[in-house]
Amino acid sequence: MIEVLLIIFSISLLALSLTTMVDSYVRNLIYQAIIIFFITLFNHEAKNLGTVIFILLETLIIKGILVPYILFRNIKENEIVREVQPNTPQYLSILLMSLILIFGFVITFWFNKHINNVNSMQFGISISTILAGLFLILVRKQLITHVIGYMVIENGTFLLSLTVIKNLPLLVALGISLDILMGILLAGILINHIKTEFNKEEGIDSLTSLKD
Amino acid sequence: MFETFIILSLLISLLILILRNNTVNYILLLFYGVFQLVFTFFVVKSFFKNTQSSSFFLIFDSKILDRFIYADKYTIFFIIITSILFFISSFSSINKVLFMKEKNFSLYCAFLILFFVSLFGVISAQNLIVMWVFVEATTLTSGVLIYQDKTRHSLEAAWKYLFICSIGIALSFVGIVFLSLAFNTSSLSFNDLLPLSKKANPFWLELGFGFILIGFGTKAGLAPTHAWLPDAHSEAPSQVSALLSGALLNTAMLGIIRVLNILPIQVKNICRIYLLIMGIISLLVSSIYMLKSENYKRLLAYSSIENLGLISIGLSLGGIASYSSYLLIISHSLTKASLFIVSGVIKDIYHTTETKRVNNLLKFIPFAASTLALGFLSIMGFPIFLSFFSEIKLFYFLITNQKWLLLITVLFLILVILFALSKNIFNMIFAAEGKYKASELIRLKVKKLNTVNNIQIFGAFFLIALALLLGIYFPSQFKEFILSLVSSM
Repeated sequence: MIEVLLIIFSISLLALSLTTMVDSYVRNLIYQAIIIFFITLFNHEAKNLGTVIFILLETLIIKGILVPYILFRNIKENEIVREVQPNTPQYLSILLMSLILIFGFVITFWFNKHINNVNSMQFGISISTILAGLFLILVRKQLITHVIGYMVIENGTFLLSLTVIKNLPLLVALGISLDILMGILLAGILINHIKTEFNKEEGIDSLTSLKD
Repeated sequence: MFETFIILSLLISLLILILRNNTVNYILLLFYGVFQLVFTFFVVKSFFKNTQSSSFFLIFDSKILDRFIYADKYTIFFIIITSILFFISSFSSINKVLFMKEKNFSLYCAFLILFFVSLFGVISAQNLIVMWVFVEATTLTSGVLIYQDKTRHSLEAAWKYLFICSIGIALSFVGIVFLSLAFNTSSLSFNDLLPLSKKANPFWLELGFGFILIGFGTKAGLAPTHAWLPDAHSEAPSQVSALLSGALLNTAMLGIIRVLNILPIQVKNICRIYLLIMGIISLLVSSIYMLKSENYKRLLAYSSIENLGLISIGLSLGGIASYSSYLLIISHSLTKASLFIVSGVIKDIYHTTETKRVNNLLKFIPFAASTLALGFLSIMGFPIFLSFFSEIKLFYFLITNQKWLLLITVLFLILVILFALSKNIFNMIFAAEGKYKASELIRLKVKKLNTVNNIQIFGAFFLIALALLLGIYFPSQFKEFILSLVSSM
């Protein structure tokens, strides 16, 4: 079952490389959160039911509802419709994303003798997810897409930690999620300020006034 | 007792957010500054006496956090520095009382306290993931502080800082997962990991350390991931820059030190080479940029990169070189915080951060100029300052171990940095032939030092005097304590 979920997850990464509409990026994040919810459900090894329910709910509420809500509101307020001038053509970006997915598997194959009692497919896909997030940040220009790339990296690290650290203490898991939520909230506020302060149409290119 | 402290800190910051009156908030901030000094005193006292702390700090304790947060000797070393710096920064925030809007000032005070709490969490966390959570929290809270001047530049700096550091820290989480894979355990307390280190898989240990070095190195401002540092330090309010440079960079370095400590000796030797390389690159990058920087706050920021580079070189070599690093951490924190506070006063008076347009400081504002000069001497390792003894110990180590190439590289780069710094700072202090002369400045209605500025400079002077005093007389108890830190590395 986990394998099927992981394959759907990797398809969502390919979809990220294809789309240029900003709101479909966010929808993609919601799908990813739901898949992660189910993976956690099948993966957990925590001893008491309370902890499991708490971690599941927390994943769903923070990753699946609150973060997308903040991002959607931000998109609406700033009237961002699509990624302005994606600076790589689509066929190239899907090619690169497929290469990243393949690279994840190659790495798993490489490291295979060092990995014991870890789901190697999940390991590979989480590495690919982290790289995919970095890739989004590198090729896209809108600040909001960068935030989405950051969220994709966070999803990747979460998936990776699921493979290895089977039972995180509840308090620690809560701390991690709160950090991420506050980070996204703060990034949203800063984007709002940047949009009013700088030219609306420009993305990261307008942030170049500080240099030596 | 840590829970009580954290809860009380959160309550005070909440109160500040509600009250929105500049004078009251400043008094509350000062009160908090004294309060955390007292708390630090009790932490240190109970650590050395091995007892429970005073009953006041136990009111809210439920002992849930005791597993993750408690004081060890590293905590003691770093908390003393951080606590003193926080007190001076909160005390010298006095210039904001008059000019800042109520809403902004209450945000500023509240986040200053939250920033201290998160720094404090990083310093006393005894579990890798708990430490990670607090490191991320320092990024978020200081990100808000950087954007306090509400200018375009500070907005840009805050965005870059938040984004670059968040990604760096996300990568360090990958490193933590790899370490957990190496140790094959899900408890990531430093005490649990240490006995397992002989059996751990060296491959994952090395890879994990690599990621953690990149992640925490980003926060510590080590090149090549230092891009946020000059921007954030130059655009933040000067009190915040003082804390960023003097306290935040140290805590990130502490993360690297703690992870190095749990590695077995063969892996540690390889990982130390990575740290050494990052240190040398930091020296190189800072020397290049300092030569062409035309902004005195950025100049100070690059000097922070240089010092952190020297610190990591020392830590990577071990032995007496590590001892020199700890001395340099003390000296750099005190000096750089003081320099940033002085630079804030200069910015208030001259309304510019361009080095070229600031001249004749000695004639115009002698108190600030002399503090700046003392700070400059300290940062360059002039004899009788603490930094001098630190750097001499590093060179002594390099000579006795016959690492000539490293010695020549480090000496050359320090010389370049000395040239760049002295050229700019001497111009600011002494040169009369600038864009403005002192008389013109008065005509331009640039105000002289007022009481507020004098209070700020006094804080800065106190820090620099401390660095000087420790250089003249370094108590033998301190020395033994630092040697105990070095021996466990």
